Amino acid sequence: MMDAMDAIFTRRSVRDFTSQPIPDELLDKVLQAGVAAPSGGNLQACRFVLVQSPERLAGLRALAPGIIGRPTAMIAICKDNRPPSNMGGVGDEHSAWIDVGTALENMLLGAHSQGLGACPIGSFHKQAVAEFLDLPEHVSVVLLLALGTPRTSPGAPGRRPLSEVVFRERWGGSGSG
Amino acid sequence: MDDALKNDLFLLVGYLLSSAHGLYDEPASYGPFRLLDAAGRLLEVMQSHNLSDPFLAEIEKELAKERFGAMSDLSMRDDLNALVMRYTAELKSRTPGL
Repeated sequence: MMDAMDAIFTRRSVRDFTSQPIPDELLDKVLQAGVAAPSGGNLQACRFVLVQSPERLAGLRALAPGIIGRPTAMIAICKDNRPPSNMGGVGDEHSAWIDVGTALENMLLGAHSQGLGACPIGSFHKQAVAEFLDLPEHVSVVLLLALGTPRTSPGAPGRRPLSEVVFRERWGGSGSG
Repeated sequence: MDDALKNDLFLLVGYLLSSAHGLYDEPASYGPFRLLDAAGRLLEVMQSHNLSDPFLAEIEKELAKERFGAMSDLSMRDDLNALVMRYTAELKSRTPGL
């Protein structure tokens, strides 16, 4: 099993996949990782639609320009928009959005730690994808997650240095204490 | 035209339409990328239906480098220019009377 910090620092957004199908047990682990993510007020507002059929994947790809390569599985990360009280939770709309982010990151790292490539997709026609997936009215799709066996993996895109984005004790504060 | 080719082109139309709609709200730099990606997808379809040729197969490989790289690698403008000029040389060689 890959160390958590190794997974964080070696993960890349993989868009180029082989045609090799993903074993169900690996996909289940990715989904379990998403469900296990932190949830504000334990609202658990995320819903997931797994697509594996080649024909359905091709259809999804036509509605989602952000899917560049040919993933062998896609997970639509959706949000249940009903009031928290209707879901037996205490969170709010804000925490539901955060839940999507925590679930996504868990799934990205879960996929990478199992040797899978993954890429979050934000460019898609939301209404068309919702229709294609037969989502009920109270559920909206927030992100798509493309998954597959990596054929190529991009280099690290670079990040701002800590000195630029991290402050100590107060905004603008630097140094170790 | 066989049904598989018809279906691939049908899917490509969907990609072009959903891209066009999406670009209203996406960063301007996504426009060139979508067109480049569309060229790559069209070449993939041609390749899979034996409608390509060695020159276009090479172009497809070059496009793949842009399509599958990190999104921050946007030195794409110069690479695209080089591709257009390479295409132009090929176009001249294929155009009678030039």
